[in-house]
Amino acid sequence: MVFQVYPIVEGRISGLIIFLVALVLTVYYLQTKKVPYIRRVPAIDAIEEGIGRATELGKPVIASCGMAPSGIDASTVAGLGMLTYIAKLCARNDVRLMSPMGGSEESYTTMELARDLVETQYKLEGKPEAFNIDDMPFLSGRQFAWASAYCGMMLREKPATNIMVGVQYASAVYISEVGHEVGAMVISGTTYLANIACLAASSDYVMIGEEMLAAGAYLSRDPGQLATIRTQDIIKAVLMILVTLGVVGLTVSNDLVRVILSS
Amino acid sequence: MSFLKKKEFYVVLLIVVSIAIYIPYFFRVPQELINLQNWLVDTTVIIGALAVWVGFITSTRREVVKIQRRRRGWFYGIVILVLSWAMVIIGIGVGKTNVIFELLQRAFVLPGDSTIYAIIVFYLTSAGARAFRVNSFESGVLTLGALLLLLKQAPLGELLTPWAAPVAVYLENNVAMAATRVFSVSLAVGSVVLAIRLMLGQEMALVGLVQRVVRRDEEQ
Repeated sequence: MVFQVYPIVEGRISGLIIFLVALVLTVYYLQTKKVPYIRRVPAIDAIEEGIGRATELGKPVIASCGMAPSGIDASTVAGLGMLTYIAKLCARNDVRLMSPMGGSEESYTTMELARDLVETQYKLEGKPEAFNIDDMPFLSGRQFAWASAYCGMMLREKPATNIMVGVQYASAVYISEVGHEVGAMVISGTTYLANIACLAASSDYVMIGEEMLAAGAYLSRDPGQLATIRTQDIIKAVLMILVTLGVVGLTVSNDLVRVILSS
Repeated sequence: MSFLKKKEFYVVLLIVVSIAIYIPYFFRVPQELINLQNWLVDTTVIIGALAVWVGFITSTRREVVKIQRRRRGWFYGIVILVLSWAMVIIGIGVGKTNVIFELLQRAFVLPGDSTIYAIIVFYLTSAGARAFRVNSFESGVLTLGALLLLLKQAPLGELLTPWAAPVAVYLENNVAMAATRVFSVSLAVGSVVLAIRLMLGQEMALVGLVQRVVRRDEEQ
């Protein structure tokens, strides 16, 4: 049994409520202009450390915004946001940034956007001449060919840091392990559940779950963007309470919470 | 066309497109609105297809320049150009189901993919060996869980330790599943909030054009 409310599509009431609550809370926090407390995320903080390491060692940084197999989705948006931040730091510290593009047929779209974003950061830092499009080559539209070429770049250039954020599939372990072999600090982040454990085993730092999606807001330190993270935390707390109530309810044969969430 | 330089223009565009997508998803609406939603989705597919060509042509130009200037690895540029254009011409000329195209796929592309995929197992082993060093209580628990799963998966383990399989199944179906659900829920919430951030024009990192426009406005 599920609740139905006309004209809402069946099974989408709870989704709509969550969406509207998130929207209202975000707008409310945007207006208050307060900077909420946000816990430290070691993997995101490590990016600055990784680029600092590259500056000291005089080695390049290699960074990827993922394979983008579905075009520009949430994970790729997060990956592009992160690549933009990395490009800004690299331009500021005169560190060479290499960003291998490709991995899927859809990644052509991302490549154009990524090149434009990185070039913009170099221009904003007043160093347009430091941007080299050859450091952002399109390696292949196939996952394993891209991964092999990515590893080849690492083996030849010996980067100080390898940062891979975005959609990563099986090839992620291959890339992160080669990164480890060449002595690079490996920072990774993915939303692909089956890969999180593999990356946790092979990376120095890993962004888990929604940490990657919140990275753009976290790095900006902008009250407007941080407000959305507060919203996220509130919704998560409510969902935790609902899950607990659901478990207790089902244990005593009451499926009210299940019905509400399925509606 | 000065409105194209305004940040507000892009924010309004984002909001209008988001509403046009979200409303037919959540509400029963007239067919016209559903058609509009479908048209927007189709437009993104067309833009994506055009971007593939833009990317392909950009890559070709890049490789041609590399070959002309005899930059490092220019020879590989020739290989890339020949192979990529051969695939495009054959693919468009004779179709993806043609025997020549299928032969290129089966003889070159698939064996290469499979080889690299197979190599991953060694990298997984080396990553696992590092991760399962027992130097704390947590890593001890992790190693114990991994050992039980190994005993369940390996045929010899199933024979020697039949008691391990039910324990491993319990760990997979309850402990690991609960953790996976936590990730799923947090990712779903994170995606919703990211969508709202984009919709409200707060996530500007993606829109490089807007960033430039804002900078130009500041300079003025």
